[in-house]
Amino acid sequence: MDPASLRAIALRQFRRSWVGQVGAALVVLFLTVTALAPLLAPYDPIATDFANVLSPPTRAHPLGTDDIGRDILSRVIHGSRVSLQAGLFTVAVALTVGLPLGLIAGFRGGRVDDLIMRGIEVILSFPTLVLALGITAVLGPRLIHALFAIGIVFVPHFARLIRGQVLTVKENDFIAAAHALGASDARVMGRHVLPNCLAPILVQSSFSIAFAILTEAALSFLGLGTQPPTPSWGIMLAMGRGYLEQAPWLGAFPGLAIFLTVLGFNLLGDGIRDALDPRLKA
Amino acid sequence: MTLELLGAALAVSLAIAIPAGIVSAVKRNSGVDLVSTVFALIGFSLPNFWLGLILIYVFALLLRWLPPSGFAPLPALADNARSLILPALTLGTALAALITRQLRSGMLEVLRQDYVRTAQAKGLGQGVVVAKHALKNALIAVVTVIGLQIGGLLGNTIITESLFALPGVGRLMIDAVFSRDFFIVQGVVLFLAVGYVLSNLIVDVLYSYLDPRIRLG
Repeated sequence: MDPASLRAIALRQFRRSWVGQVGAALVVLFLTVTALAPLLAPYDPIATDFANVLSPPTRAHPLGTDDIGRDILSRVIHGSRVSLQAGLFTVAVALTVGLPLGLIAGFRGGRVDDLIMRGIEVILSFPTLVLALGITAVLGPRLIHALFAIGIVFVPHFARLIRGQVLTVKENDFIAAAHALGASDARVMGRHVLPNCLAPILVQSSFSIAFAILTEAALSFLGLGTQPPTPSWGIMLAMGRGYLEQAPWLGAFPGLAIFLTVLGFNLLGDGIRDALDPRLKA
Repeated sequence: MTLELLGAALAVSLAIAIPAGIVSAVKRNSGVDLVSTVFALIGFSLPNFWLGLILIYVFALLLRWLPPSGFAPLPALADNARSLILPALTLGTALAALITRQLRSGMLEVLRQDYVRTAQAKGLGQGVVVAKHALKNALIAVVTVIGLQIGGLLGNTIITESLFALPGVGRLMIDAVFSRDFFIVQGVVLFLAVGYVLSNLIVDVLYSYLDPRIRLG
């Protein structure tokens, strides 16, 4: 079977699963909102309006306003940018570090493999959020530090996944053929091994984006991620917590936004995985 | 305190997930199955700090059944339990979702096996077959998930404790981060990491109990 037909099969499988469809729809919605944020938001997300403080949802402010009169809808819309940034940046960090490590460990094997994998296991022995918190504590509470921390925490997952893939792929005859033709190790790794490992990486990336968005929100909620006045869903939730009784809408909508976005990327990941390998279907 | 919260969360998630997982596997494609599958999908994506806020809002502020935050130490058993219900639910839901999903697919796998059919052919009741033959083997996958997720659970206790103002290790860590007290941060990170590694060790030991074929080398 040529790769085009495999891709067609995967695409057909994907169209058949409602899980993947719902996920894709949510992700597309999220990306659209992110891209068009300045056009969609009715107000400036950091403009205060002290005449309308803690206003419940009204026609002028569909999701209400917060304790200093900022429009919550506009803040939720702009907050999506922080979340997208969080998702993409962390996966980029995790891939930049994890991909070469996993590739080399799997390809070389032996002592190099041992060295890399033991190092990876050290990171793995820390609970994710705890390590991210520890790193942010040392570097200081800033968004970029938090994202970097989350990215580092993801490295082991990618490295292990890729190593496992490489171990299976490199047993194939076409790898031996490439070596026999005199291709360098780097060329074999880049041109022959890597493309055959991409599918699981795609799935893992989707799950990781979901988890990164959740973790960024959690760190911001604790006050260690995004700093005010930048609108981030986690910060908005933390503020809503103080007004839970008088103004429950403060926390309700950013929470809903986090939930739908995370759900979208998780379902998308499930859908892609089922489409690529029907045997793994849960 | 943190340990008690973890235990409670684990108990809550097992109490939800084991019946849900079994029923949805045994009565596949039924209404119950659909509900628990949807629960498993949603529960996993629900940000637990948001869930916590919702629980506080509904059960503490609207209905006034449970305290919104704070912790009653152990000798006062009833108050202690009441102060832990919401945090345990907050912490346990995501895990419950994962376990439900894992248990369902594990049970479906096991129920197809020949020895299950043999047991049914012997005339054993469905309950006995499910409980004694299928469940024990499906639990291996569940134990794996729990082992892997303990780390996430430990991390989430930090959020849960700060949300419900519980005096645990997580709160200690957050306070230390803000006062830039690095020795305490280091201590807590190390403590939690050791706890995580130990719990994975326990999981490995549990394997050989659940499946005697697995021998630890």
